[in-house]
Amino acid sequence: MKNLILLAFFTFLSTISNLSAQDAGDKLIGLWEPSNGKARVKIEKIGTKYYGKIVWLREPNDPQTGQPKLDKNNSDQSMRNVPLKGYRMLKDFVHADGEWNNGTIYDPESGSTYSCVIKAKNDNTLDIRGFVGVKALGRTDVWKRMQVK
Amino acid sequence: MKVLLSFSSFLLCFFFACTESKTITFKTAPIALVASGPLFEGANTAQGDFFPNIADFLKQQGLELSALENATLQTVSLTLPDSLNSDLVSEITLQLAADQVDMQKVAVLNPVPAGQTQLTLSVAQEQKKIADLIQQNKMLLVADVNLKKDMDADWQATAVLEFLLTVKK
Repeated sequence: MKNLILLAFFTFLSTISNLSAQDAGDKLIGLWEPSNGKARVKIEKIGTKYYGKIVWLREPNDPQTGQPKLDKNNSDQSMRNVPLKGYRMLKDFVHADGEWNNGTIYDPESGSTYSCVIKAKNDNTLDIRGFVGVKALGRTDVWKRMQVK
Repeated sequence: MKVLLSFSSFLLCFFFACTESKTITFKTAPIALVASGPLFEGANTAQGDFFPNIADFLKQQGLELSALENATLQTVSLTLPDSLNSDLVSEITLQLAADQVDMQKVAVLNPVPAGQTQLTLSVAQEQKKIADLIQQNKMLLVADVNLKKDMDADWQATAVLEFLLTVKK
């Protein structure tokens, strides 16, 4: 009986710990703006990972065509008619050790994808670091939350 | 010398016989995609789950899972409950993902033709990790749906995906 109570207690503790870890990761969810102010990105959780898609563009239309901007720099020609509005530029982030890692960030202006790690400076500010290979060789951008908590 | 040549020819034939492959089509059952309303104009996310059970499918063909060498997505078709669900949509982009495999953008339809309930998406030429994805227990379908205006109800569709599997004979 004593063992059963102990087992139930540790299961309860483990569940609480898992839930709080999930909650901590979920503070990434929301609407964010990169430092250049050209876009707004909605970060959401799908399955166990975090993804961010462009939901607003300061200049939604291509000045050359007058039509909505497309992913014209994609290396795959068959995907160049994917609209930038709705584009998932942040993919596959996993929350661990106080940061979101193992993800990628896509730069639609160059058509390049970089490894990426996200750190929260506070509830309303993110450091988004894109890099190739080694974290030290990268660039950090500061994103601000649009709906301040 | 003659013996050596014969032996080499035999080895070559044996090698090709062992590595010969064939292709099989694997078509999914209809997969429900839903974006829960109310929905706002712009980018919205519709999701659906799919359990490929590819090992069972291969078993029915008399093959083991280890025989799977490659997989590519061939076609993606969407069926909408009514034309309202297509009239309100400007573009649809479809991605596949799983807990253990990164998300892959696999198909797009831009623009979505008005008044249609059957849609065929253009499939990506560059495809990665499709074989890894279909070997997962659960695969996620994520459709980014750009709405022309707000919608109170859910946006719904069913997707059927057709994969071409390359397997060892």
